[in-house]
Amino acid sequence: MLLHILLASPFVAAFLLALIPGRFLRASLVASTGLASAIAGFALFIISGLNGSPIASDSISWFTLPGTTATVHYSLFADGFALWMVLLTAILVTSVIWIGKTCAGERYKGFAALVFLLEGALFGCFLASDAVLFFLFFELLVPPAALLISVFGGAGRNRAAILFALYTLLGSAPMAIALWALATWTGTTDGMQIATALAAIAPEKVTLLFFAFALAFAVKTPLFPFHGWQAEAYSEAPAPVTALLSGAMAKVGVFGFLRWTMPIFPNEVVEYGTLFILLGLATVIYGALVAMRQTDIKRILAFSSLSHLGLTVVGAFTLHDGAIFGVVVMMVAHGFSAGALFLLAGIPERWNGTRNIFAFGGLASQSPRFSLLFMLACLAAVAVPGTLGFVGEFLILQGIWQTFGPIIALAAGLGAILSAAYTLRMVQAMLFGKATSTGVGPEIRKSEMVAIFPLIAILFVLGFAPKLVLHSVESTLGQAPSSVANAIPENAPNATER
Amino acid sequence: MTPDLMAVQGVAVVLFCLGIAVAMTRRNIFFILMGVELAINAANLSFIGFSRTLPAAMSLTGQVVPLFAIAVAAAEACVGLAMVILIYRARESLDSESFANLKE
Amino acid sequence: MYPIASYLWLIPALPLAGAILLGIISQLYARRDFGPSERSMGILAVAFPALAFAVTVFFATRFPLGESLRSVIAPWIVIDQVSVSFGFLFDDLSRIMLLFITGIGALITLYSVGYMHGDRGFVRFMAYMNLFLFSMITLVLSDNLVLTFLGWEGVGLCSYLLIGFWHSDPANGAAANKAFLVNRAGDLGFLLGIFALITLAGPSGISFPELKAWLLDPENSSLIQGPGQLLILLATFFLFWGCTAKSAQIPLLTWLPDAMAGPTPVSALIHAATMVTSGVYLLARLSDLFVLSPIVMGMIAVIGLGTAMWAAVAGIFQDDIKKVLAYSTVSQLGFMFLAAGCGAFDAAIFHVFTHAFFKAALFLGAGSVIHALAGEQDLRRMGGLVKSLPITFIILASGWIAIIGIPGTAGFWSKDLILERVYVSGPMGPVLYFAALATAILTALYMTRMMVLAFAGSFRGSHHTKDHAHESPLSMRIPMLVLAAGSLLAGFVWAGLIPGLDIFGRALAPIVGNAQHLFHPAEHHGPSAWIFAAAGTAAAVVGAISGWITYIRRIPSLLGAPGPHGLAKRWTLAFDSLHFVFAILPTRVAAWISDVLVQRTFEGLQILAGFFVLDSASVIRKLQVSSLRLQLGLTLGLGLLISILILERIS
Repeated sequence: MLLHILLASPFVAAFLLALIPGRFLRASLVASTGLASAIAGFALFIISGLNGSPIASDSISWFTLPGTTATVHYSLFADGFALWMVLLTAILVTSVIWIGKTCAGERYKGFAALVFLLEGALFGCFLASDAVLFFLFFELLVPPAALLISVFGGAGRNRAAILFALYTLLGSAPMAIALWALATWTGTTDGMQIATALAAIAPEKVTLLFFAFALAFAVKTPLFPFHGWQAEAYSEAPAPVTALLSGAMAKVGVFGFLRWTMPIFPNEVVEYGTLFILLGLATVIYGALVAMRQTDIKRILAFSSLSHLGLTVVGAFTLHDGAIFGVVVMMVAHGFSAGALFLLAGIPERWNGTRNIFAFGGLASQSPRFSLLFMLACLAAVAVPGTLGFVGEFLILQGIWQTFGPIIALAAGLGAILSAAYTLRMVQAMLFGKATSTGVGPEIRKSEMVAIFPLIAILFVLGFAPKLVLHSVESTLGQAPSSVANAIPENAPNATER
Repeated sequence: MTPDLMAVQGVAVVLFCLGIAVAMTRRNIFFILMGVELAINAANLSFIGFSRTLPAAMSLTGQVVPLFAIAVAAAEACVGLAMVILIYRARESLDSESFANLKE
Repeated sequence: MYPIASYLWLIPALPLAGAILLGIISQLYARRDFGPSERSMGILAVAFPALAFAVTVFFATRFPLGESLRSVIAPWIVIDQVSVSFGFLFDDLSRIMLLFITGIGALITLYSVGYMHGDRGFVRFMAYMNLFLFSMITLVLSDNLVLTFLGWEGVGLCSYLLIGFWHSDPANGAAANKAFLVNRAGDLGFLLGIFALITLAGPSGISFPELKAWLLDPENSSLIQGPGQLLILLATFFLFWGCTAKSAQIPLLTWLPDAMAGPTPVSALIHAATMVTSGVYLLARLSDLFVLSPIVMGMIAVIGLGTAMWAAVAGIFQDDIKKVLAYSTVSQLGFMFLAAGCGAFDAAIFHVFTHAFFKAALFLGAGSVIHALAGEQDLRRMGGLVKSLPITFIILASGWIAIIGIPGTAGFWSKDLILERVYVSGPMGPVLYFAALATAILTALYMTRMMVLAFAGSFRGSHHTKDHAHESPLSMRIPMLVLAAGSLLAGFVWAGLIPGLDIFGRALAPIVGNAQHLFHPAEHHGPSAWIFAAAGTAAAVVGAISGWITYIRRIPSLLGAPGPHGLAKRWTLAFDSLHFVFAILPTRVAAWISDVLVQRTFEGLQILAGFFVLDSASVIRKLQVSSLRLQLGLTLGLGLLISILILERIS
């Protein structure tokens, strides 16, 4: 029951928001912030009440796919991992809603409504327990996001929105077909039963299904060859929207790998895991290298995001328990740090109208509060120990070491050095160096600080107490039948003893 | 006097073709509607012709269907003319070529 | 064991609280024209380190040598595979390190109150210094490698912030970036070493007491001798790699000379006394592990010696007084690594201890000279300062005789101990010894050069600076005098030649004694200690006299920028060039390939795809029938066609 309320709440919020006449900006601001905080609080409440056992909702039969014997159910499932993703989304949405008024202006109500719809679709992705239901919400992510980009974005927004929409939809089209095939061959679409049901199907067919599923998530994350939409979409979208896209929506991709690919196709994951490891490593290095040459602050952050999530994919495909924990932790950490950084990146854009990092300079002396927050957010992104990102990277790299040995771990760790390189370059160009003008400059508004500071604070608090994340994930990760830990066959070459 | 089946059908076909020709060649929307009406009535004539010349069991169909068709045609004329009025208000023109919104 | 151990957290917490408090104050005043009162902020800034020192002294004196306190506060990362907690270990090694870290840290913070007088970022500087002390204390006080790593990266971060403190000059920013990146490269090695240890010794293998117990456990000896050898090699190699970056050894030493861009107190505290010695500390702490890998030990010794020699030669070429001291630090660190590589961990830590005193004294003295000459750092423009800056001269002279190893000074005892131990360390010992002795001569040479150029002869600078020359204020003088006294006297805690004065060595025995005994099972007998002492003194005297003779009459040309030129410059920048060729250039090329070739190709393909879609769309659009009548006709025609087909089907 709780889960149904949780899933419905953003849609209800969007609906309530639509009832407010467009003129009352202040009312819509207050209402939307209140609603967003309420949703976040509710998610927090659920997660704190989760003591050791995942929550599964009752399933309601929805419709039968014609031509198959499979019935699609409306059923939800939440373990610690999914709930942390939900909580991350809810907190990010609260910050985004609050900051959104600076970028949406008069059309704030539409902005907030679209953000709530996006939030609802995200919740659905994380909570759905039926494959078709998951796919529904997966597709449902695209319209609000594309609309947000094309209505509120920068100069190249239409192209960016179309690119984003087309890439995502083309990437998930095979998955639609695969789901239909799955339903036809196995007669079920329930997440818990697919894995066992697939054992009876011919391996060639299952491989096709695996790649169809994996493609959709590889485009969403994104992973190296399929990242073409990301740089443009992230840079043209308004900063709060990018924060949400990078912080929450990209996580759906990795979530999809962990929840909807690995437990369902364990043999294929073991067989083709090397391919994904290589792609992930390529993503890490490629993203970092390209980031070093960019001059647009949001493009730097976009490629940085690409690089970090590449590391999570590598960690996921090691199939090492400790690394999986690291992946979850890093997803939470990256969500908050990317969210904070993108929100912060929007502020100089607003001051100067440009995103070129060399157009600023000396912000440390002109805008000290902004600089402090920016510096802290960069430290969190670079995974300095004491932040949650370090815990994630530490666990992932350790898993890589134990599974693949020192050389691959070294290669993956190069990303850490490179991330420091491009982050410092960005910090140097923007915060330090000659000031563009003397005296004090524009400063971050109190409202923006209120929205951004909690994200950074969470990173540092959780960095010293990661057990808040680890505990809820650990206690339930092994219990869901559709979890990685239980799905890998014992004779897999990657299974580790330690 | 027994009408010749072929003659009635022939007239019906000619009227039908005339109606379609009118609907397809005239640009004024009223004439298009007139042409469609003509075509419908030609079909009615065809039914009635068959009702006279076919065995008794089918003759009733041939008279009832045109009745329905006349009613439907009347309704369709009402709706069509109402739409024409609305379109005219928007477009200030009765030229069917100017109703096209799709870009070339 | 002792309930009071649960208060160990106070030692790192005090500077942390200071950093946060000063940081908040700095932010509050950031947008105003002037900062808060320097006097009150200065008192606040020194109070926290001083209190930390007091607490350390309390703990140090409460417990006799040989006792260790352990306090585990809270779990940090605890899962099946990894178990790390926030824990503190106060044993003899950390006791020694903490005493001089907090003590010298407090003194140098006091010095900076005077040095940074008038700087708009005064409070921010003090906040960073306190943050640094917190990180350094965490580094040495932690009971496991991951918490040490937190301190390790923390000091790297503070180093970045402090080197680039005057951030409006991009050159300082570049130096800070370099320091952070080179250190990060080393940090990767540290992490890989941690992973190797976890794989070897299990989830708690990274906690020092547990690791020591595991390594010494006879049950594990077969694992260690057999399949564990590779892991031990990897672990020691990677951890040593981490040490080379932090302690500026070959090949990751390029950041330290550039780090002189920061204010002088930073150079004194971070790049002389504390941060750079973290590598040596780690070697001593993990001595039980390192002695199990003779290959890596040999590597450490050779690299240490090579670094010492290379940096000593480079020191002769420098014209900037701080750069001379920077290369001197690199060279002395090389000595420490040489000692560690030869199995003399306690001698290495002793040299860390004495080096902290005399190098800090030297740096603070140099800072005093710079302060007196209104920012002049070029040795060519100094000279004859012995008359105008007598107290500063005494400070620098104390550091000078200590570093070159005049008998009785702190440097003499520690350096001699190292040379002695190197000689008896094995078949290669004498070779290493003579090379190290040659380096000692070079050390004396360049240090004497520095003293001669700065203090002897007549003043070569401008009249303006000469009139400006004045002694430092009291806040700067007191720390310098204390440190100078330390350079002279601190060595007596382990005066090898005088029986009974070896409290330092006895203190370290429980920590490293086992490892050292393992490395040198038999006591090698070499020449008597007095011969070594004589040789060392001779080296110092020879070097000093050569330096005096060579440079006393020489008037350096004031043309051009200070610093090495020509061949000397190529020597000095040898490792920078190496880095450029092997790391920076390939990265730039790879980045160029990724950006221009791959990314732009993707974007180009996307634009092409877009054009293709638009073109075909315009073609397909032509098929669309917009004429109403044509639609009607086509509909009828198609309907007719379908009806005919269906009728044919039926019939």
